[in-house]
Amino acid sequence: MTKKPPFRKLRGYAFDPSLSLKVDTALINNITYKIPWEENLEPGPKGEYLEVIDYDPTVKKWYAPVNLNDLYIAAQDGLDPSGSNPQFHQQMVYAVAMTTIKNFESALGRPVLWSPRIVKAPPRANSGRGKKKDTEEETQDVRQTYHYVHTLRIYPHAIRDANAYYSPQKKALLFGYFSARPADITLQMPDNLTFSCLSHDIIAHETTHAILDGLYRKFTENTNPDVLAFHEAFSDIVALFQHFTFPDVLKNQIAATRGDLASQNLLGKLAQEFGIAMGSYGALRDAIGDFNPVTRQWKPKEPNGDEYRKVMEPHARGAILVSAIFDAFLTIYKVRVADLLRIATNGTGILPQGELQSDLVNRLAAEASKTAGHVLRMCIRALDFCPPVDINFGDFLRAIITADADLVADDNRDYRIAFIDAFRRRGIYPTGIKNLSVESLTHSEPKTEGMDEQIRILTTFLREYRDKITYIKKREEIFNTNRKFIAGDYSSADKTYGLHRRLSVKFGNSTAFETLTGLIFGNDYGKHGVGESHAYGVTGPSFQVHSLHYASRVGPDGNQTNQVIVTLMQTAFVKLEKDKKGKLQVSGTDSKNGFALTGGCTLIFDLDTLRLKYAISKPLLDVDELKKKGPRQLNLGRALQVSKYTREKGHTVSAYQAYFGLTKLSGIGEPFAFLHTH
Amino acid sequence: MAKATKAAKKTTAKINKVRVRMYRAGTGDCFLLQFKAGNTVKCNMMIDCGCILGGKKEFEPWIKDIKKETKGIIDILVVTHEHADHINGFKSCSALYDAFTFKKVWFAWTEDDDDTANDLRRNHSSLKMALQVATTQLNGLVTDKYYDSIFADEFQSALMVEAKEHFINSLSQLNSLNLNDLPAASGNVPSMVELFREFKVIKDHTEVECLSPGDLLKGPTLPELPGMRVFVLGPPKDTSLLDLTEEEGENFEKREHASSRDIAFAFAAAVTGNTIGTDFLPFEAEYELGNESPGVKKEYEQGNDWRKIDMDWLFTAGSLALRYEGSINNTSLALAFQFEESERVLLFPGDAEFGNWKSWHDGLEWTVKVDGKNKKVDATYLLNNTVFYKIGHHCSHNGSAARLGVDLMTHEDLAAMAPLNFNKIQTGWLNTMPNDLLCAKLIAKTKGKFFFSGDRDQIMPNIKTDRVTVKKTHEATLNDLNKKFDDQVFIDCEVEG
Repeated sequence: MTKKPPFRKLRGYAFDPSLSLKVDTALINNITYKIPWEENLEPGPKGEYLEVIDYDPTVKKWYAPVNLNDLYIAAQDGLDPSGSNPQFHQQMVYAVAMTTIKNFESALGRPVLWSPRIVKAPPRANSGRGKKKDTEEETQDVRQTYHYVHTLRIYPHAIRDANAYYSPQKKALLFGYFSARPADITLQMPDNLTFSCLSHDIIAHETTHAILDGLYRKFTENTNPDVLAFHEAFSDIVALFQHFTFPDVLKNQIAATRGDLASQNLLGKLAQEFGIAMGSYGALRDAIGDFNPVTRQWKPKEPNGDEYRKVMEPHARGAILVSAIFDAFLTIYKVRVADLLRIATNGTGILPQGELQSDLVNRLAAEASKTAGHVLRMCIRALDFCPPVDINFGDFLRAIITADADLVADDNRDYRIAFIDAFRRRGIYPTGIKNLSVESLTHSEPKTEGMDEQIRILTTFLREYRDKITYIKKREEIFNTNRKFIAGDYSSADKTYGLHRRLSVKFGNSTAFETLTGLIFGNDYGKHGVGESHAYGVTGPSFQVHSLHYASRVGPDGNQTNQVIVTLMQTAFVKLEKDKKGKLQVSGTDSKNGFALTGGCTLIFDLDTLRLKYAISKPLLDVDELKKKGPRQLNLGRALQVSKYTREKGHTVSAYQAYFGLTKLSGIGEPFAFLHTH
Repeated sequence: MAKATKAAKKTTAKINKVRVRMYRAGTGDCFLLQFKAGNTVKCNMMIDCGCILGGKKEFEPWIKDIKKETKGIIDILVVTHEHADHINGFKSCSALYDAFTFKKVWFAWTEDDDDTANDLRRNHSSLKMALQVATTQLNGLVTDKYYDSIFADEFQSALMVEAKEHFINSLSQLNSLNLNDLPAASGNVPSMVELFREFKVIKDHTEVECLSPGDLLKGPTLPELPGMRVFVLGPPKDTSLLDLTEEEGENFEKREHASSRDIAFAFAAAVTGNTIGTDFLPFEAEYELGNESPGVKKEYEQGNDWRKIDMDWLFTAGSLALRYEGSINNTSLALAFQFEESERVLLFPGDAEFGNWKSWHDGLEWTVKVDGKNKKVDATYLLNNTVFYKIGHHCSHNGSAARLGVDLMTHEDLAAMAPLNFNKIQTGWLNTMPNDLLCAKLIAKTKGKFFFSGDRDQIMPNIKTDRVTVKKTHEATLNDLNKKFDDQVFIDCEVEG
């Protein structure tokens, strides 16, 4: 009996079809993706995570779905790369999206779940026992329920536009195609049909949008100039660092750049064919440099420290974060290969003329690949240490540093310094820290005086969750178990209370917990513009348990973390008014008279010590005042920032985004269709 | 004696001032320029007549006033470009204009009957048609409550429907700018010359001139305006510049060899069902799914309507509409009127966007006589001497170039008029117009000689954002100048020669 193969090999482009037409890149551009073998892969392909549906609504045509289990196809590692065969397009999107998902899962340490579909819950019915049957959460008045979404849909030929996007509404990726309009006919054939679904970078980018949305639904809400930019940047980062997982491409580029990855190379470029088809001289985006349109010379990008203050359009702003992360990567890589270069050059460090020796290329490539893997892992791990709403780049830097310090005690290669330095050079500083250092950027363990007992009980409950979730492998069951632990289980005879109810009961009216989370748990929630909830039989302030995860990670020293991550969210409707002295004051009101201010908090519990290890908050309350035992009041700073941003939104987005109202009903329409429109 | 009188007449005959009157009701352009020698009006010139969503109600008072001022005789009518907010007055009030006499009409070269112009209009026409069809189909979805049913179960269904309708509504408004809907006769797409015949503005005796950049009208070619020169700055002959709507740093790409087609042609082919050519089908028929109905197709068709993508592709019309709007704006006839002696300039760029502005600096040069000597002048010279600026494209961020435009307007007597009015405006434009940086800069440069078509109390708060400063003295001057016209259908100022 032959064992089932661990991988399915599928041929595809490492970048996009355009590089297969150039002599110097054709060889490395055709690669074989190795993705986990899916036993029950149906024609489409349709598998555990994805279903590719090749329907082109623009001409109402269906294309025959590829059957990757077909003997002939399987025997030759999938279909030949080809622009004219839609079945290859299906294979390509499947191969790249699966590769992205797998890379993510191995860094995150848990299966990828797509964001749930939120539908209206049926009206509350009395269960006859006189008690309300409450398994759904509620915010304000309308009840909602979460539906599990098993597969992400991929439509490889959905639109005729220089665009591709993730639709949070449909849980689908829509890829477009269009006729190229190159700036120069020597760059590309004019009117050449350009398919975004054949670009590794675009597929990886869109898939990452979907994965990120599965982790943080609120990151599509445009509450500050960084939120959408973060979504864009993160998707680019994943696509970029995925280039380093293709060994032949990497070696080729190490050889071509003589080991200097800061010089022009394919690895730092994104969506080359797409960029040229849109009429520019190079890739759509480039992490390390760009083309001077006049001289048509590539030149490295030098940060001037002003970008973060001045650049507001989400893509351009996202590019700042991408270049910061890539910069950190380059710094670390240079440090890591310095000794290799010295060994290879008798200590001078100066490489001789001519091609590098192939052993050196292999060793440099190994270091580059390892470093890229580390950097990408640091970024993905950091996601668990972000606040669930209103994220900015500074928060992300703190998340990277905290997540890394949490797992890796000894930063002997100065990875963290490399990140801080790269952010500093672009003028990205987190708010609320008094000086810039690894220590101050690391979130510290919160003070839990007076709550230790409650936290101990809560953590014991979370241990039960850990015991359950660790052995569940089916994604749907994971989803349902998470929901059950959040909402509780009232269906069986021995009902269990969920996390939501436990938090309301344990911390109702607890100022200490409010100080920690910045959210409102006191009885005066109405005064602060927070709605009332009767969920799970408790009357109190409305809030949401946004997510619940178990994270177990092994550090380089063999140390293991054992943590549960809970994210909470709460919305207040507030208004800003001047008081008698002409000073702006914020006060609670209702949805008709105010604007929504959403607060959130990520709580990380350590199951080994039964303690709360981190509380990372975007507060609704003025926590500084609470700490000083001052008055309980709403957070004026955040209210001002949100209101100012909403008011001045026109300046921060492209003409298209401004005209069609990206910021109106933020997060409701198709935010990524907006962002990716050119 | 007779000789002396003739000489005296000749000197006074030179134009030495002009009164610029801007008509107000909504966002759009309508100007009456009365060129005067002393107190005698030598020439009545109209530039455009239009207003967003404007109808008879808006235009009649304007036309009444113009008639009163000119007795219905317009020496020169300038039509800058084909957008409704510049010409719909002629359409909805063609009966009133029928009583006028337009002696001469100036269009841009894009309305001429030559190959480049015909080609451009053909390209534009297929995009316009695609837009029209897509907009109609999307509006059909609203009427059919398509999204209400697709989103019925969603938690935020009402907001989701609203977001779609907002988009479709914004698109419709943008599409309503495209007025020229004359049916295409075989081959050539009708120009605005034909359209204005239809409007009864151009009649048999009307002289029509299509102007090209680099043209200089003076003396015998400009008998209506003695003592003045007219420089034609745009639209550029290089049609690829028409698509350039925004500035991207200091340097700009040359698009020599670029395909002249918009990237939306494949979209246009699909939306209009034009099966001719290679644009329609991306793949050979052999790859199409036959009659067998495997799992994927069945699954798509049965249930889960919320995941379907049948209509999403039509939303591409949004970006196309905006690009198309920009390239039509760039076909604006941009003119500079100059007093020969003082060299002072009035600048009317229509709705020119960046590509048009940029083209002025791409080698346009004229030779003029100053103090009896020949002098080579260029766009920079004209901008340096500008004392009156009709703000381009209703104060949008790219309707006035910065480095190649406003920054070069250094004359101390500069005044500016803003044809922006919140009474009638595309709702989407409210997010970008007025551009605060541009207006604040111009208010400072003009020291408050800044005239609004709309209510200044409504517009000023949108200019005075946190990132700009408006001097109190300038604002006071601005208020004084505008206040006089608070209840009038027009606002005007006199520019000395």
